[in-house]
Amino acid sequence: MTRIRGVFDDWDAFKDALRTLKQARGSGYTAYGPVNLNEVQDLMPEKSSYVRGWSTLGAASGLATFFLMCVLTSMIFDLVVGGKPPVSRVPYVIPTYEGTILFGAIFAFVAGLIYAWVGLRPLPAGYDARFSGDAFGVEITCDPAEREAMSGLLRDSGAVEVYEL
Amino acid sequence: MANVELKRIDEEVLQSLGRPSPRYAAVMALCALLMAAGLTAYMFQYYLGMGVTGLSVPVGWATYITNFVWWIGIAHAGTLISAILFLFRAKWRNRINRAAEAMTIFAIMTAGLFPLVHLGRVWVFFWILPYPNWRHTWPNFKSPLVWDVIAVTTYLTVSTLFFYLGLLPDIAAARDRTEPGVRKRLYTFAALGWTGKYDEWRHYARTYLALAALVTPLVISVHSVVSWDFAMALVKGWHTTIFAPYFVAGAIHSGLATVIILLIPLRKALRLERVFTLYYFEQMALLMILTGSIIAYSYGVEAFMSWYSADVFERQFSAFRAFHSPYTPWFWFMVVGNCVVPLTFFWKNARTNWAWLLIASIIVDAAMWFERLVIIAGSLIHDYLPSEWGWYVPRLPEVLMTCFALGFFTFAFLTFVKLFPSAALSEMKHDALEREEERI
Repeated sequence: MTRIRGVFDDWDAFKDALRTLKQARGSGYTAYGPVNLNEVQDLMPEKSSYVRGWSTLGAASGLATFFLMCVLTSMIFDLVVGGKPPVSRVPYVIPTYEGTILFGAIFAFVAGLIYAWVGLRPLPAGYDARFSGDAFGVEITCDPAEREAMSGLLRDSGAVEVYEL
Repeated sequence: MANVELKRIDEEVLQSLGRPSPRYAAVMALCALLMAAGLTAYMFQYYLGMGVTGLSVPVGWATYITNFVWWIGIAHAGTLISAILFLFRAKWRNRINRAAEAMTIFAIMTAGLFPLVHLGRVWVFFWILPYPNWRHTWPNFKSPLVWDVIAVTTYLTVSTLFFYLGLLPDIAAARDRTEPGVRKRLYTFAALGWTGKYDEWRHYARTYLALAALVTPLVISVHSVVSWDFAMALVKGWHTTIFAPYFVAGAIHSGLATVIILLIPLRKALRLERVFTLYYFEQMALLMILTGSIIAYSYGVEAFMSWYSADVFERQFSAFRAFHSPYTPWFWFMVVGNCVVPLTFFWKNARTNWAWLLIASIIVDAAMWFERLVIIAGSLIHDYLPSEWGWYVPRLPEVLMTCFALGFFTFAFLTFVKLFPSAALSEMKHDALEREEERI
């Protein structure tokens, strides 16, 4: 398989290229850009993200962890507390609430990084610095036989530069 | 052509990351001096004990706790601007959210110092943490003070994650436009290999939304929990149910004022006049009318409830605070500063005047600090029995530690805006493209 990349300095041309690719291929391409817009996400082959699921799982585990921490530490507290129930559920709502948010946020953040596959890693070969500034990119993965056709498609859509990775 | 606008945004914001001017360096040196003075005072207190402060029976909480509550309050505007206004799709947040979020992080860090300083025996601070120990004791999770620790650390953690996530694409933009050197290495490390691929953006957007949704209830809960440090105690002037909304509104009020105080000189110093335009300050000023009105309502309700309760102590205490207390001048200063001064923003001439925006914000911040002092120390000096009445004046270590906090916060903020983009590049570009779409 070969990778062809087109660089766009025009926002509309970039969207046109993605629209054409979505109709013509449906998959096997990706895009780069300095900004996230829902319009672009709608034109991408992959739309799902499980971050929310992990966040919910984190929130549930935070809720359970903090509530149990309050309850269990009260139950093994050696000092006698005069007349008050050792486990008081109402005040434990506060740490439980905070723990729910804390774990939910940590899980969401870590899941986001893992899914987006960012981390302490070098930049991939062929990284184009223009995509963090003022340019957009479309990258197509295709058979070597389709190389010319795909390059033509990108040029016809308005790419100012087309190159092979 | 949209890309011309995008390029301009990069150039405008990233030029501010250059070498600091001599005046900028002088302000940072002044902050360092304040920090040195504060540290000296703290070492003095560390060796000699809490007796060097003005704290004494009956006033056990005063300047340090006032500083803690005030700084935590200031931290709230950043999260309001970045998370709540994001969920409400208020577009005017996009240029100021980065600076406001940075302010939030540094304000929480500053606030977090004060309970430790107030603790006296700071070397045993870890006793508050829940871990198995030989004393067979655990933190009392029924105590508002323990709630406070959990709430503030949660707020710091979640705000930092939210802030860093928002910063990632902008660090990548800075990385790609920086000459090789230490700075580029820092950006390369901090950008975590961000490439701007739309698969990254997809997960980024979901994570950002999830964090915004999670941090929003924190804005409400953290200062509510802080207010319960007081409201749960049977002290006149503290034991009232309105404290939670009252504190939250006050927190956002002072936070907005601080954003204005920081950004007005900064836009000049960093040559960001075209980024931080008057429009954004006007929006914050309008928001301050709302928060100021909530505070005014809270003051009114507090006074009304003390009369309506028919409780002799409450009635007497309200009259004492307003007319006979040593803090009475500060009480009226807080009423005027927090409730009347923001009302001037109803006039367009006032809210579009740079000098008045700055002066009014300074008055609001000062009034909010005195509000905390009047609530905390002003209530403790006048307990139920006349034998428990007393007086409190801060001593030099407390004054210098307050200066330390101002120096530390300003130093950290000024360092940040010289190292990282002070406006959210990706969000500004988002706006620019949307404007382009609307034009078409």
